[in-house]
Amino acid sequence: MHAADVRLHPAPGEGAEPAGLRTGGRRSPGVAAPAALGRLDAGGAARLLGFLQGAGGNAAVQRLVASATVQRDCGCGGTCGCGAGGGAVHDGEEPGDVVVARQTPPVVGKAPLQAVIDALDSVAPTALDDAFFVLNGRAMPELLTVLSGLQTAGRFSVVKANAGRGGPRMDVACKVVELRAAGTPSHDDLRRVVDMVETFPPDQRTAIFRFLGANLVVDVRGVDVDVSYCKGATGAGCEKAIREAIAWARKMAAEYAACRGRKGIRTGDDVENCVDASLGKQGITTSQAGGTSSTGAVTVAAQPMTKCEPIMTRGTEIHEGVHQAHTLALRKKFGAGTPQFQAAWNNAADWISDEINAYGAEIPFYQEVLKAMKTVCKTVS
Amino acid sequence: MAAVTLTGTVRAAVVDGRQRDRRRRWLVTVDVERVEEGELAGDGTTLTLLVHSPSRDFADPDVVGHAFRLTLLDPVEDPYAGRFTAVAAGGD
Repeated sequence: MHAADVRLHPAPGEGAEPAGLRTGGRRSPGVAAPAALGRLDAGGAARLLGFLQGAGGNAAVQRLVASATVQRDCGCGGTCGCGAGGGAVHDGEEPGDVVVARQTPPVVGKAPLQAVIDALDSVAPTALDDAFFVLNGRAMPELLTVLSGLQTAGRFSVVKANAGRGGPRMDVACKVVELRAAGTPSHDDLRRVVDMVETFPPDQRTAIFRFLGANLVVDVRGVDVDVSYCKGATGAGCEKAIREAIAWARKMAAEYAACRGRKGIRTGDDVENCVDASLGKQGITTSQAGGTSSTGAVTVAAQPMTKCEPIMTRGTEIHEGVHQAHTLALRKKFGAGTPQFQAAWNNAADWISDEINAYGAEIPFYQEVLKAMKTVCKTVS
Repeated sequence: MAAVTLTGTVRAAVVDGRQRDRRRRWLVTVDVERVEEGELAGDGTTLTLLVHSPSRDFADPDVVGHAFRLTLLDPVEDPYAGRFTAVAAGGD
């Protein structure tokens, strides 16, 4: 699906009579536009939402679309774009304006954003091939339900911004739209966006890059590998982190293997103590110490979430899948909670094999991600 | 050091996105039903444990929704990253 140019149209006057949708589908009765509804072609918006639903499924769309739309903090008090500092009134001619719509307080007797939907009908339905919702809040199933019936062609992206009247994500969203409206983003532009969206949830990162035309996504065992994992203009890509994860998995498998058959190692606890001792001798600590509390406990400190975390999380899930399958197999063989199960589950040799298998299972996944990144990152290199 | 023994039901098991420990990547949240011995911090209604593997450490392939009797052997912090034993409480 190719991105079409954003065409801007004069903002409708408030309270304008609805022109209805020319793109087909539902025609709503005329209602006054909410005061803060900006330049938005109903057909375009409808097409966009429908496309995203068709492409990603409603559940994916609901992750992106929130219950309230936010408007840039505009001093004009009315319809403002975010292309010019957020305070100026726009007349529809400025390039790069973001169309946003503000959720009015819930209208009694109507679904929360029905007023917005109705207002979409009021916008002159000349073709606008792209629209960009900047939203925050909770999922907005009512909007999705209504708009999904309108059109299915087109493209758009939805970005979930911070709650409130702006914030870092709103700023990023506006920059992204300005970039898109200015033409096809260069690789340099895309790399800057990679840095800008580093802290966004992965599905929103994908949506943003799709909006910008960087559509290449490779599914690797449930992780959508897209350009957001690549090196940015200033920030690192995930290649190094993934290679470190592979090295760690190999190392841990070797550590467990080294404890096999050692004298005195009979149980799972013995195995873990053996591995702990070995790592300790090497000066390797695995937890991020947060300090020692008054109770004497050493706390563990949380680390900032990195953009590579979805990949690491999936690797951890794959690891756990091996343990799960093995525990289930032991249960089926010996019965849950039986002394035989307990003996088998706690057997040192079995424990070691299970860990070697689990760490080993992560490695092909990480290697597949690296291969996918090689392909995807060419689009921004 | 006094151990803490409690029974509770696992409400959630999620990967620790904050990577507190490279070997213990799961956060298991337990709704505490009864503290049999010792004391828990806070209101004592939930306990979060940092574990290597929910299925291995609880000897249960599907821990969420299942009740366990837990004995915490080290001082309790949040999340609890110390040693513990887990025994299925009641039926599976």
